[in-house]
Amino acid sequence: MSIDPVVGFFALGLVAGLLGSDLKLSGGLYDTLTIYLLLAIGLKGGFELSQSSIPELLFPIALVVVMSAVTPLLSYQLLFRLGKLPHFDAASISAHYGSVSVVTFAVGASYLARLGVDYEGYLSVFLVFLEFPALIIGVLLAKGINKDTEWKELAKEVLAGKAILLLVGGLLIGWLWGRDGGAALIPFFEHMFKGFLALFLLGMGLMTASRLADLRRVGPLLIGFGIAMPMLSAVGGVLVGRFIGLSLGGATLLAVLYASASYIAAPAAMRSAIPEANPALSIGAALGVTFPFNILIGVPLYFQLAQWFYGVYP
Amino acid sequence: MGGIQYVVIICEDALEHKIGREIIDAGAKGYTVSTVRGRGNRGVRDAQSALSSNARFEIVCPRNVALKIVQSIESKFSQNYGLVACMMDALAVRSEEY
Repeated sequence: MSIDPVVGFFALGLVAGLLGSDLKLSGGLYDTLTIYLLLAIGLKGGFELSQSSIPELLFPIALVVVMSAVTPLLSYQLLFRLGKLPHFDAASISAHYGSVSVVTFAVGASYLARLGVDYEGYLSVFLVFLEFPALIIGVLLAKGINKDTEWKELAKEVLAGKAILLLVGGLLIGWLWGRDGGAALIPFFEHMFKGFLALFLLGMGLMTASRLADLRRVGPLLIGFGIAMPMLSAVGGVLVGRFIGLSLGGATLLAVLYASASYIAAPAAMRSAIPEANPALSIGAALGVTFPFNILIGVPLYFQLAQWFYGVYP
Repeated sequence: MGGIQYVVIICEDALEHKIGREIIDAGAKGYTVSTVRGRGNRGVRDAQSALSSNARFEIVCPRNVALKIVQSIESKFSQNYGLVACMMDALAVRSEEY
């Protein structure tokens, strides 16, 4: 089977949810798994960072972040003008799609590891920097630059939110101690990573099943958007990756990052910053459509895309 | 035992801190908050997932404070957030403490 076994756990959760099983993961378990995954990914990135030269990374990071702004801006135009969605909803959904999903990234990394395709370890650093700019763009789209917007609250929500905190914290720890200094952490945070990811995906499958009712509310427009926008963003990811000289695996993961939509950091930030937006739409699209699409079809698809592009433009 | 008001507020957990502040600003001596789940008629969020639950506040306070709490919360949050706010007459021990 070329598909990663962790995806099987997602499918299991989905089926369990659809069958109305009493299986459920407690809130505490979700929180624990989230904390583990964020720390593990941050740590890994930090280990890699400690072995790379930071000045060399500054330009790629800046470019990757700036180009990622295309996703929320384009999303907003598509949703507001073409889709005739209310302004606040369009802005909030754009913020979700401009931000990234740590779990989708983890599935992508697992997929590449299984195929034996290498990728630059510092992609986790990109992940960290891609989490929050889109949230700011979303708020700007929604409210414009006026004093009504509670920037302090948004800043606190975004920068002190657990996603950023754990990712950056893990990154710093990994960077400061390096792989040698942090060797004792490797059995827990690296060797067991796949198992924890599998459990988390089991829960995500359950959650996605419960959100399928949202799809009726979301409507065909957002379902289509939830599939088309990731693919469009993935193309951008491959292009940017090639431009900054990433390897095949690296460009694939960048495409995965661009294509993913956040449902951990973004919903909380948006609920606070753009309360007028309907969260059922944004979470319904991000979790009900884009997340399953990305991990079931997207990841292998983006890899094929990158392979084709790198074949034509080596 | 003396007469007092018992106020219950149920809101989305994104609002927990803001509502806590409103309650204290309105003059209440304290409150109790617990995590609950449920569904409402707006159909915007069904709090059945671990991603989003609700918070339930219980406050014991004099009538004027209760009115202040319910009115300020209603005016600030009810438009964009799911909210239930009600107050009822109650008898409490040491009601003069509130």
